[in-house]
Amino acid sequence: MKKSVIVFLLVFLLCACSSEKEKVIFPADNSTSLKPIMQKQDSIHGYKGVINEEDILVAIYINRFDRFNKTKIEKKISKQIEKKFPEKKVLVTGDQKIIWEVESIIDKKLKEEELRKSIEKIKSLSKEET
Amino acid sequence: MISSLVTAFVVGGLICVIGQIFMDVFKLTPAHTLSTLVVLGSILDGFGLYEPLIDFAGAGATVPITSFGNSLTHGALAEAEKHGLIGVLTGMFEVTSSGISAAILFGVIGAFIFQKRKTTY
Amino acid sequence: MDQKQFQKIIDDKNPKVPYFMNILKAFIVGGIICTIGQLITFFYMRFFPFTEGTAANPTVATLVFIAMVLTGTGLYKKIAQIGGAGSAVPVTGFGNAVISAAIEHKSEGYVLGVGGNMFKLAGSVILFGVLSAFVVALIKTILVNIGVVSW
Repeated sequence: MKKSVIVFLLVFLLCACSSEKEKVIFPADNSTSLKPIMQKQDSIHGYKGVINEEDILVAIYINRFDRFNKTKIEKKISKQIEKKFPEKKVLVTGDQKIIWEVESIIDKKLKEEELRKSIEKIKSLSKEET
Repeated sequence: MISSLVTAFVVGGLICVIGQIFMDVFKLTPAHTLSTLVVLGSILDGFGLYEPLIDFAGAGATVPITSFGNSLTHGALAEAEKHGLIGVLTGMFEVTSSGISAAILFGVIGAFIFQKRKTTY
Repeated sequence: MDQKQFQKIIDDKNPKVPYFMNILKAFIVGGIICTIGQLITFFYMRFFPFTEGTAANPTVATLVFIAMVLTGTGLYKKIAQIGGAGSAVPVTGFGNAVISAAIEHKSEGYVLGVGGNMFKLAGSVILFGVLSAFVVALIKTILVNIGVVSW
């Protein structure tokens, strides 16, 4: 009884860990310069980035057990991106809410003005403290 | 998303197991157990370890009472970081916990709606 | 009959604490409450502008609200009989202690009864929470000022 519960939980955990490998940058033509940076990160298993003239917004799927170091990982990646794009404001986050927001931007394929507005919205969201 | 639920279950369950061990093995009363856990959460935040736990386990770390000690300490530390030693004092009066205000509010509403039973706890 | 024999008789008379079962029950009940909390967090993040950091507050408030309904209907007592610490350690247990005391002393009036007795059980939690927060923050600030640790 006890063993079967543990086995069940382990299987459950492992299944959950290896799901969805999503690597998207929007709009796609900008993706070449950002991809190499994201590709070499080993503590994330996916990312969704949005780029416009002044902002870079990257939502990252952090591996389950790397989430302890969430803030460190966010800082590390955003520093690397800032190095490559010194003229843009960079926001890297593993927050589930912002992952959802970025996904909805990509799904709706927002253009210029609307895109700028939603990026502003997300930036103000991430600034809020508890 | 499912993995978040599982980690919340496991980590939240483990914190409750620590509480159960305090109660059964060290024979503490529930009030002593809860106080000990709150102090524990506060100390963990002093070492900067509770926020990573929240990042890892989500509600598994914010729902147990340990997070109450964490949020109070976190508020005091944030203020101390800005204003130094005096910030500890002013920070203490700024921090609030949604748990306490919710308990007060719903306690009064509950007393208003519900009738006394033989024992409710 | 010396102290040892007396203690042995007491131990024999008292029922053995089923350590393992209690721990397992606490794990499952506490885990379920936290999982419900995680679901509520997801709900607030999905439909309201809350992030992982800010969604914790409405989650806790919602759980205390659920605790109020369960306490008023007498269901929380049944959960507590099964769960032990699993129902006491989550914030719902704190809510249950406050709310049940409020309902219990309603007949003595709102000022002396509800107001005076609400924190009979939960008061120590608040006291030690605030006190330890103060002490920890004080120690850490001093340590930072003399340069032993950094923020």
